[in-house]
Amino acid sequence: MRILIIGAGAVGGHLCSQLSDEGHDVTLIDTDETKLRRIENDLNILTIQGNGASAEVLEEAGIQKADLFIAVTNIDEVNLIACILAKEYGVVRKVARVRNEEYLSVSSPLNQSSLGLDLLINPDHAMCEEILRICSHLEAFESIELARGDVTLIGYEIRDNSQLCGITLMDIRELKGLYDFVIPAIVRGKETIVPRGEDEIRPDDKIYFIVRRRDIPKLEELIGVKSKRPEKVFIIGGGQVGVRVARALEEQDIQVFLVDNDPKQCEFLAEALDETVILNVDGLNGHELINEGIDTSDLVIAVTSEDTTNILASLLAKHLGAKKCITRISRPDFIPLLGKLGIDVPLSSRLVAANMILKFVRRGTILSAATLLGSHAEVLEFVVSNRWPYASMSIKDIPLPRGVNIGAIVREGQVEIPTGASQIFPNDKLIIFTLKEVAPELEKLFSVY
Amino acid sequence: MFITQFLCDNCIIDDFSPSSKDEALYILAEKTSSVSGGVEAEYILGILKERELLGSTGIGGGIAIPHGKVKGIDRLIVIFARSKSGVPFDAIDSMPVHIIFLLIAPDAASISYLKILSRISRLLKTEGFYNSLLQAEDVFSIKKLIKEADERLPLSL
Repeated sequence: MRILIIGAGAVGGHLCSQLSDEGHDVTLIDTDETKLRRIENDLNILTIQGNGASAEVLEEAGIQKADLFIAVTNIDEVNLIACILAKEYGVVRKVARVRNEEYLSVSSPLNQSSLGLDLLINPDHAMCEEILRICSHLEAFESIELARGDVTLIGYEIRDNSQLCGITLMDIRELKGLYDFVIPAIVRGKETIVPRGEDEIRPDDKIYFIVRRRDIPKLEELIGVKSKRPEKVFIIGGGQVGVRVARALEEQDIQVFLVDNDPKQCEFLAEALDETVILNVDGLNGHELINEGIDTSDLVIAVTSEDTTNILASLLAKHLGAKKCITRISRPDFIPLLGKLGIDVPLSSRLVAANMILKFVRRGTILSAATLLGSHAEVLEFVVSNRWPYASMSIKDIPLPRGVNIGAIVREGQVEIPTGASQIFPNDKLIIFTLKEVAPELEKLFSVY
Repeated sequence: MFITQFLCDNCIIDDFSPSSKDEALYILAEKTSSVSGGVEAEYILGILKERELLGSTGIGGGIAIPHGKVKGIDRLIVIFARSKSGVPFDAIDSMPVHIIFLLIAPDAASISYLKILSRISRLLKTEGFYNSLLQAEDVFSIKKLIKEADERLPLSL
């Protein structure tokens, strides 16, 4: 597929690397030549220096032949104009990143449908959705909703007192009916294991489960954890994300404290929110935060615009006694460090936004994809075409590459957690877990030419 | 580890005919209580009901495997119940349940609990086993059938 990307920032860079890895023809446009050089050095893509909202530049980049247009500069208007131009050139699929709330509301004269866009992405909204999802399964280290939310990919760390320790995958498979789920991967130390029947669950394993959403409480009972809703939450940083998350949490009757060190912003926050307690305190002032009770909080969400502030505020809060923290990070270079430092859930704005865009980009029948943070794996959704040669076969007879697991089959709205004997039919939607290195092989297996 | 190790002679109910799921669980809890020596039936019943709330252990095909961990119990307990007329059990296929294996384990984490639970589930998949259990003449032959099938099943995987 020919893909044109405008904007060589964090999201654009990430998309370039993902999409060119998968074998797409990617052309990147940006006004900043240094950024282009850096990306060009790492990746096999074509770059063009210039304004993405200029017809001349777009023509030079070959817009007439593009199948997909992605505008992710940090200026909304450039993204929108670029997309309108792309529409004029007949590009079928268009995606734009937009920060300004005005363009996002349905009532606005310039919204997604009137602009003829397939997707408007607001990175702050995407971030909020992600944070709220994490809030609902606090015991899990990661959770991703699939199949419109009926199926969840959810990860738990196994403690040494869990009854699952010492149990083999084969034992678990026998529990089908009582406990239905698939374990597509186990992260053990630095290794990502795609487990086989004889593999045993060990303490400190981080295990991914693919499970029906309604079966999550049952799964937690089996693992021996129980996710309670947080009662007391501190949010550090009263920007767009902070306000949105605070508003959503106060609607769930959760006690929210929103911390911001700018007195002006605090006045605005006090107006914007009803139940939330606004604290005009520095998020790194441990003494004052203790006075407000951060030591007994269930969750701290650090979402200031500064990575270093977020990291330090999270570490401080954990040190003071907060149970768990979610930390927004923009610099992906930091992410590998964070586990060692004791940061529970690092969230990269770039990955969150890029993952949403990637959903729209996949070739053929892939509906959505999510990259699993810190693990070299992905979850994909495929719809089985009736021309697919393996339709009507059992899973065990399909030549799936090693490292691939079918986690769920969605058929006429019903979710089946499959075994090797499960049959696949045309129009089934498959939720597939795959290691990154075999993803292209998998896509080949599923594409029908 | 064999299932039969935990299935004592008076742990088999041949003529199980409760009229509701609640009554079925109550009878099973009472039986467990009498076998365990001292743990109250009401307490066991609460644990079984709590598990059923998460999703029925009636796994379809006339089979139910209710299970739970109970404080004050010092070993695994397996109770078998057979109902020729069928018990309403809110099973996933909405059909009445005829064969029930109940598994109760001590509260402390132990690997044997899930191993035996998994083994029971595997045992019930043995071809012809379900039908022969239904047709068995008395408690004695039920026990014999379970023992034989249990011994034929490979021990560990």
